[in-house]
Amino acid sequence: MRMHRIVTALVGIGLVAAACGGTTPAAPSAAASATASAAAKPPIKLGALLPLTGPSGATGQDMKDGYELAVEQINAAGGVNGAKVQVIYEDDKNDPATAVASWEKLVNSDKVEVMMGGLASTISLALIEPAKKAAIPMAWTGAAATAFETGMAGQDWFFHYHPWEYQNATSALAFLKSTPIKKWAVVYEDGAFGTGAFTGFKTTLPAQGQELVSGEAYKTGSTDFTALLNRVKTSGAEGLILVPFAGDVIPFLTQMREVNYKPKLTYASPPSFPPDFGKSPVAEGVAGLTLWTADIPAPASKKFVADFTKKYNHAPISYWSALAYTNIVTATSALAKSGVGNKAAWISAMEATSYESPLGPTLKFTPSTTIKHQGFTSLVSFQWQSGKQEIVFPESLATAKLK
Amino acid sequence: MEALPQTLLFGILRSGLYALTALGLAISLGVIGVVNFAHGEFVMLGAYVGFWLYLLLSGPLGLGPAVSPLVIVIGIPLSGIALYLVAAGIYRFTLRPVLRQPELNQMLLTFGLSILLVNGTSITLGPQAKDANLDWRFDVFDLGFASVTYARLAVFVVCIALVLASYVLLQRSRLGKQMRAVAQNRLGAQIVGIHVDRVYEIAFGMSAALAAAAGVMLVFQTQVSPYLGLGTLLKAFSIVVLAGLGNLTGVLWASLLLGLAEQGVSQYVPGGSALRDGLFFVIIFAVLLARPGGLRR
Repeated sequence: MRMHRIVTALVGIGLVAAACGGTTPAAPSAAASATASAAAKPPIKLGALLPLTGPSGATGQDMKDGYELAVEQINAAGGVNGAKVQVIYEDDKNDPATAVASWEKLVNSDKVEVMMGGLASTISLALIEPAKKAAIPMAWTGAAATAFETGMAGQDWFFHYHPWEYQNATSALAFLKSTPIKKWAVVYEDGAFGTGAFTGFKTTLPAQGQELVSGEAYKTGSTDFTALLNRVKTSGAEGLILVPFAGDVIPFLTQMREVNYKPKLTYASPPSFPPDFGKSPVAEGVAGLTLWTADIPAPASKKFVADFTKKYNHAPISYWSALAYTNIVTATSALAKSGVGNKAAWISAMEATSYESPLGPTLKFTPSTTIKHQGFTSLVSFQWQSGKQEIVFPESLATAKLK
Repeated sequence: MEALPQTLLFGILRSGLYALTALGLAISLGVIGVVNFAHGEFVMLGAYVGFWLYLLLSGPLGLGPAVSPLVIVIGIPLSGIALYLVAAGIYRFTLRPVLRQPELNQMLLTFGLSILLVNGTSITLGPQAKDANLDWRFDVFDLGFASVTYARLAVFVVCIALVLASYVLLQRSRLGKQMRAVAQNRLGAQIVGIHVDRVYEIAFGMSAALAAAAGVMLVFQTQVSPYLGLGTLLKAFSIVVLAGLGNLTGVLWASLLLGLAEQGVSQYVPGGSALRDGLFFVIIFAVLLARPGGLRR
């Protein structure tokens, strides 16, 4: 009975407050109006699905840092048409089942406007069906597997930022071809990411006159690679291509010392290197593929690195933070043009994107071989030299020579 | 076949950490009769103590090359004492009340404890995996037929020393005899005047302290994260099953067998590196089907 009375009282207070609000005179100044509407308008909810824990946790956290930085800047500048931007993060734990459940939560329960994020291909593959069912605007950073691209063919609400694995491969192969090494071994993690890359190398390396003498799969998170490395060593490979997740990189390179395996070049392509990798003694000379390094001279990149470092007291640990930043900035500026809840207009606005991104190239969405909206299409090769990522290929962008 | 000596060496070296982790689990199972699902989390907490010590010694104190040995020399007693106290507290306030209850309740309790510790660590210290750039992880020692990192040697030597010291304690000391007496017959031990409850508490604390030491050594091998407990626990379980539940001396042999089997599979079976981590499941199945009491009984 008492409860009933309290509820009645609360409803009464609410009604009075609403009535008072209705009689408030028109706002006297534009500034006050903007503040009032920002406070009154419900926030625009965006969903981000990231691996915040597990083997890609460091990369996922780097992405989250990129999003948070952008959200802070967007909201400080007045939000999207006066409404604050709010990102709801879900940890996919690098586990497909968790990812599907998180997707359903973000779409059906949180009712987000745009779905962002995405890193591991295994996760994105599991999301094809839920995504098609929901058919909500999707500005997707990661997943390079071609199987995912095929799965999303014909979906005009799907915008993909990261290059696909064949584009990664084209970029990597051009670099590998430029080296004097003829015989390669590929060691890869046995999920969709590594297996996809390996399948590519099997045909593409011979096609450009280089030999693949050994291919070895391993399970990510294993702590011991000595046996595998012994086999690679005896295969006669001059160069080693490594397709790992971040957590496997240091144990792997350390154990190469233990089995005394010194290939002429180690080319590693994890989604990102572990934090502080440059400081570890095994980093020197390792080459890799990246979308971006923190040292490129583009003004947008310099500003991003400065803002990021100021906010977090450390530099971005991978290109993923810059990619995530680009992801949310473009998705929300399209929302600002289209307004909330207008999918067709959002798609048109995204199609018109021309954004001078921190990653260097101006971002535009163009058709790939399979999907309608593909963002970035090529990557650069770098080498760890004295703790820094120096771009070594293509020559036009190189900041140092390959050692 | 030139890889054989190296395969054997790495298999043996790998077994040290397995033995240390499994011994703690076997003690809590053998002496108290509790299947401790949170044992892997004790290892994880030990690893965080080791990692924190690494940050402290290499950062503000800037001790350079002395950091690696100091992390072991200081880290093991420090994390051992810390985890002993944590485990004693856990025993007093949560485990003791359910000791007389059905086993399912005890398992659920330790399972819940495991979830609590993982998520508590993830919330307070962050979910990201971290690497310690310890010199010993990178510097190699040449044995002639193979090279090994100082870390790998140190981990093996320290782990085996701790396992052997624990055996001596259990066999020779008064406390060890009390533990074995309690393990064999709780009521009988009580009748001859052994303070069973106190022995249980010490055994549980000791089991956690051994896990913590294993955790410190793990910093030399892999990334530290709140989630490293589960993988560790699964392997420790397979060793304990192989040794025979609660059989303490069998742990050493079982660890050696698992280490060599894993190394052999990844060396000689095509695609073995991807299969290796499933090997302990095969071992558990095989042992439970063929010799449910463990290999040495």
